[in-house]
Amino acid sequence: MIEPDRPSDEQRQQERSQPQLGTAQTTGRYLVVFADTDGDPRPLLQSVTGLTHVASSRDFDDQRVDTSETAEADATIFAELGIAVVTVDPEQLGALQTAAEARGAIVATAPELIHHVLTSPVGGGTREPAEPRWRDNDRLTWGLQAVNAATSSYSGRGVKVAVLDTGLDATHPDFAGRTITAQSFVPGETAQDGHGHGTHCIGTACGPESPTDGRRYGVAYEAEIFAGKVLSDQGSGTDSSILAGINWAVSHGCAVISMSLGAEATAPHPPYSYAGRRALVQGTLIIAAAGNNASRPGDPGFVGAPANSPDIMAVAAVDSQLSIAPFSARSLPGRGGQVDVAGPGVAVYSSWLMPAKYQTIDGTSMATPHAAGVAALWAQATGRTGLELWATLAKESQRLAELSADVGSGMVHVID
Amino acid sequence: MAQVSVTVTVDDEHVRAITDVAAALRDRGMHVEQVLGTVGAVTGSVPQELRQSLSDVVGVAHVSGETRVQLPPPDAPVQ
Repeated sequence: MIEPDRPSDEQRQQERSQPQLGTAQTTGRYLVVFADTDGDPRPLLQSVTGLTHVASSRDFDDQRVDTSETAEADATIFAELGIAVVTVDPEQLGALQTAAEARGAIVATAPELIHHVLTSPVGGGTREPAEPRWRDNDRLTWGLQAVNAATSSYSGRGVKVAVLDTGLDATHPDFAGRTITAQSFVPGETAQDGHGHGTHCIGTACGPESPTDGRRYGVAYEAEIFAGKVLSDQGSGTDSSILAGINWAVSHGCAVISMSLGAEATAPHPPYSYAGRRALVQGTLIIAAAGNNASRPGDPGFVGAPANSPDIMAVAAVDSQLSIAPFSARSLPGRGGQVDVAGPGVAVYSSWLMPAKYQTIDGTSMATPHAAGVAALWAQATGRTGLELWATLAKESQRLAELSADVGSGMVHVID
Repeated sequence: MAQVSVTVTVDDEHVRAITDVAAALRDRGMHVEQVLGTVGAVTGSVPQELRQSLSDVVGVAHVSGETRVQLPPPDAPVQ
């Protein structure tokens, strides 16, 4: 059992097949969605329903449908959208939904709704937590449940994920058998993690489906791991090491770079702004920690460098109630200074240096690899990279009852 | 002469010619440590009094001092 509050799979399945109309008014007509927009759906529509008056947007110049001319038609096809509005009786509707020749070609039917200008709500809105609360269980961390990695069929397979941090503990048994490219950019140190932070972040982004002990904590469990050591065993790093790590990851075709590091600077640092943009156009999305300089409620802090560069995604931390973490930095007013998304960043369980093996800690550093892992799953699911991948993460994130200045577009979230 | 660490960002037009930019930076007295062609940055150090002149090199978009990042110690609860 994952969460007692959540609807069962059966309930969710039912909701999907029977959209909840609530009090919405319908026209009596139906919308038919075709699988593709290339062919002409008119013959299929006519043979399944027997309708004779079928208009298509392709009958009009520039596809500008004149509704006064289509009013008499039984069906109007919007060819570029692959959607038709049809006037059908229940029997014809049933044929559209079940006829053998429609199977595969028609992907959905739905009643046509009447839309109204939105009116102002009466009275003040109350702030109610609409989201369920999450907790770790025997199988999964709360974070994996909250970003939907636990139920997603995607694993990050075929996607290269770079984590630029303090390296990886190569002796950790949870990473045995994985494809790992490790490289140190810290003078005088190997890629072996001597701090723990890097091993924790790599664990969250790319840890295994079945750890050697305990619950699963890794999002993209089949991603190819690029462990770049840019911070020393003492946890410090310089621009030159970090830029060298970015250069390396982009050169290797990594779709995602996770950077749980930052400096408390209010202005974007030009080298990262350029590097972020150049990475993005080459298909690499850089995701960075917003920073832990807040002390809420008194001091909301600010997004530091490099996360405040316009082409680097900034990740805030939320807790298992989906509330902003007290340390998580707020958006800066300038361009690039905004928080873009949020991730699980309080009480995050992941891998740590042996022999401790596992550790539970807080930080926007922990939220960032959740976002990176989710980005890898989206990259696998859609083939998108760069700015398209960024847009997908933002679009698909689950909106939270928090300020957008604190959590951006909300909790990163992947499809089933 | 005090050496300072610098990161030189190359402008879009000169990223492909970054090795030429790096050579010109060396001529101005910069000790070049890394030429990062993919991101378009040259890192290294330069005597403090020569730092300003690096901005005049053709193809240079920015000359930045080096910032450091520092993680909390491993036993800190917030990372």
